[in-house]
Amino acid sequence: MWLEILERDHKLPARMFQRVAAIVFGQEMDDVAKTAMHRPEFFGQPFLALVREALRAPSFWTVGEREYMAAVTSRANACDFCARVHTETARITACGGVDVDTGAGRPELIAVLALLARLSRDAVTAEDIARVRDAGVPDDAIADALAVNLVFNIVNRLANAFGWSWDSDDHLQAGARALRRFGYKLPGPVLR
Amino acid sequence: MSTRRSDRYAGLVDALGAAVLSSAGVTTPEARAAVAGGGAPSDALAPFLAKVRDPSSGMAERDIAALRDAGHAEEEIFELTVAAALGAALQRYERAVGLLGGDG
Repeated sequence: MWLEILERDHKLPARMFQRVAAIVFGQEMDDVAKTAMHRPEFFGQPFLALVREALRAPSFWTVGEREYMAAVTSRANACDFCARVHTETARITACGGVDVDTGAGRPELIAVLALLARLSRDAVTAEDIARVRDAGVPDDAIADALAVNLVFNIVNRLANAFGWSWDSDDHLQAGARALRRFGYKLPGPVLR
Repeated sequence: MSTRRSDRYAGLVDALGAAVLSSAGVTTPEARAAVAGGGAPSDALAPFLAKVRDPSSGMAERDIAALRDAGHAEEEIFELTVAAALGAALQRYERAVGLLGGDG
């Protein structure tokens, strides 16, 4: 990472957690978690609360579909770091909901993905929303997709600005497995 | 008017906004609010913050190094970068949620 404080300036519980996690998982903790644990009251704690609601709370969309929305938004934002890990997370959690290699999924997903890709680049219009409704997507489901898009419109910019990176493909795969297993949860003490 | 799901997110979005824009930091809440709205506290910071807002701008380590060399502390860069990213993202989100509630 390009800011030394995000790499190293963490309180004792967060430093201990990183050491234990590195031993248990055989990989260093990812740059998202390190950034979230730096002054967590400023960004990480409230941000991860929003992320958990958008990506893991009960929804019209499966977890895999929302991970794929994350990957599509990240690609639209030219964020390779996030696009890679959320493509892999979608691959291992999709349960048939989406084919991450071809982009094939149910018509409702395809309609909302077009909206999200556009939303990351341009101002959307009422017609864009109407097209998604016409594909049979309920408003609450559109709201869920917009929340995923919001999360990644924030975090993609941070990834690109702070130089987040994966050390290796093994590091990336470990990150995807952690997202599937722990779902954006970090122990309470490391976020205080 | 907004959907019930949007309302569920509203509290979480407000809490994030309050933490990033109103909490104590090395920069003032006024400076962070201005950055979230598209401004810059100084001419030296303006190009960097514009790059943060445009995620396909090709940000590089030298962009951060240049700020550090100009005397900007890392905590200042951290706070203003988060404010710029949040502001750019919220602008898009609020417009879309408004459209969803407005004709739903």
